[in-house]
Amino acid sequence: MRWLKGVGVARLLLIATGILVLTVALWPELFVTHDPTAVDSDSILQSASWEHPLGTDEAGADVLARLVHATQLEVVIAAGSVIIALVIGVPSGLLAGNSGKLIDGGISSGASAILAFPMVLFAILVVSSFGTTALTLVGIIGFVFAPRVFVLVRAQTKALKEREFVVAARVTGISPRRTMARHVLPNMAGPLFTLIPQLMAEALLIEAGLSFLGLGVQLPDSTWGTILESSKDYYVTSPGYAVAAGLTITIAAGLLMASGELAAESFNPLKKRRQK
Amino acid sequence: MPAITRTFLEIARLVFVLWLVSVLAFLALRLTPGDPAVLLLGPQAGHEDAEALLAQVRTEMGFDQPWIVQYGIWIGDILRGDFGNSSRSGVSVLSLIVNAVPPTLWLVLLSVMVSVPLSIAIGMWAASHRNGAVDRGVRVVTTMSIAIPGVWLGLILIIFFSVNLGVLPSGGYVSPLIDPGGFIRHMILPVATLSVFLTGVLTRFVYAEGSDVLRQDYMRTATAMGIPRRTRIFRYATRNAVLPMITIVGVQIGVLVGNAVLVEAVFGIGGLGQLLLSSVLNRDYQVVQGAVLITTVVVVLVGFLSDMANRLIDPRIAK
Repeated sequence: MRWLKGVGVARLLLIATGILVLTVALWPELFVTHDPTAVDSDSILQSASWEHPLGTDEAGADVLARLVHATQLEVVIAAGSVIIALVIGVPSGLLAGNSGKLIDGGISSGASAILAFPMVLFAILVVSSFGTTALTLVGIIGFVFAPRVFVLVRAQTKALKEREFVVAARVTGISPRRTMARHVLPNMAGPLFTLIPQLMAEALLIEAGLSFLGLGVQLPDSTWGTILESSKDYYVTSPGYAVAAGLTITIAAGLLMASGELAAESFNPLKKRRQK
Repeated sequence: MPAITRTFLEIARLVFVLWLVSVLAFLALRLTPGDPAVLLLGPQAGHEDAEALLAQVRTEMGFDQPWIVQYGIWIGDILRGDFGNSSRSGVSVLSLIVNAVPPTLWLVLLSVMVSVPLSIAIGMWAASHRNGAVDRGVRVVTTMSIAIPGVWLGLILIIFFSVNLGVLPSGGYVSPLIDPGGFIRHMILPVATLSVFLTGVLTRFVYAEGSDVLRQDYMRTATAMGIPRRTRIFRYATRNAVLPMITIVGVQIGVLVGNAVLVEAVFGIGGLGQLLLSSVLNRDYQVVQGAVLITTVVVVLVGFLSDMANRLIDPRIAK
């Protein structure tokens, strides 16, 4: 059990939380008994009770059940957008990091152009013409995240390329592709695993923002963002509804950001905290 | 590389990026599935005699031309200051945007004015009292301030200050020229909402820079010379730690404008966000495209200028 000590309590808790969230996403009905789509005119906008720990919404559905059932789509959006960003960002970053000035400059400028757009505005522009489904959200968020992955992978490639072990691999006649896959890519895992949770947190926040503008997923789908959006009309009479929805997003985003920082420390021995 | 050559290269790169931005903004609408003429005409496209109108729009906008020609026409008009007209009201897109900018600009400006001094104070205090607890405290508080969705924080502030305490208005905008007192009262909650995020980001930065500067040899020398702690921290360390902030603020302007658009929606402020949103709902794509393009260009220019300013001021990177 000694390895557990090395991992640290904070990391273990985060890993456990991550597993719990995935379980909730896969089998929400294990955690809540109420139907998230229930319509019950007798129990509209109730405040918290034993029956409904977080109260009920404007249709009489249990808010906790809605939040728990929305976890799945939220995980899809956060993970999906990051996967798209990786699929675009990693190969283009490797390519730019290995190419001459012309190709590198071209791809890098494209990345700067995408990065230049205020993310929310760009999402509004695209969502307004492509419509709002979970799929378009994943696509757009993934697209605006791609340059962030690209910038990281390009810089890492450039730095690693000059390191002795990569030069050695090249000198021994290992093909460039194999060198990239076996020696360069694994060595940038640390920074990538730091960026990924950060991006996932931002995906949740962008989704919440867009949903608040009415540009989120459409019913019957719902996400934490659209639940927050629907709660905003009732904040005077049932503030608990809005508090529950927003707090869920805040905690999820905060935990993701914290795990990014812990990942940075785990992968970088120089960054390990001096105070124990 | 001589400074002039580098500046020239930077400007060339800036122009190239701006060009790519325009291409992206153009494509974002043209790649849309469906007939762009129908999109542009908006609700009018449903009328019975719309076919003639549609044909007219197609020739006018050049939708029957190849894309590259269409882009040429579009960018040519924009460079001459013609962003087209709203398909809803027929008003020129540019005048709509100019009218919508002041509230958004005030929000962003005031948030920067609040967050910069605040983050310098908190960041430098934390850096000069650095220990395990302070370190953890800074991390936890700044992470939370970045993780809170701005729209939600705005709602919470309204629930607390407007609904429960009833001390501040829950929304709306008053021009400072008409009623300065009302302007300030209406701005407090939205600016606070935006500042929580910005202060979090900047505090992290000042804290990291400040901790770094305080470890430098020249700080130790200053201590050895008997210069009082107050002078060391305020005069020497803060100046060096805070200079690069110009660039960081420049970079954050884009994020800030995006957040401002969201916060406007919470507080019902009639700025750029409201314009964008109503245009999206009305399918008034010319306005959406124009507003996003203009804002992005301004954001890019601000970022570029702040970077240049930083280089002029800070001799460490002006090598």
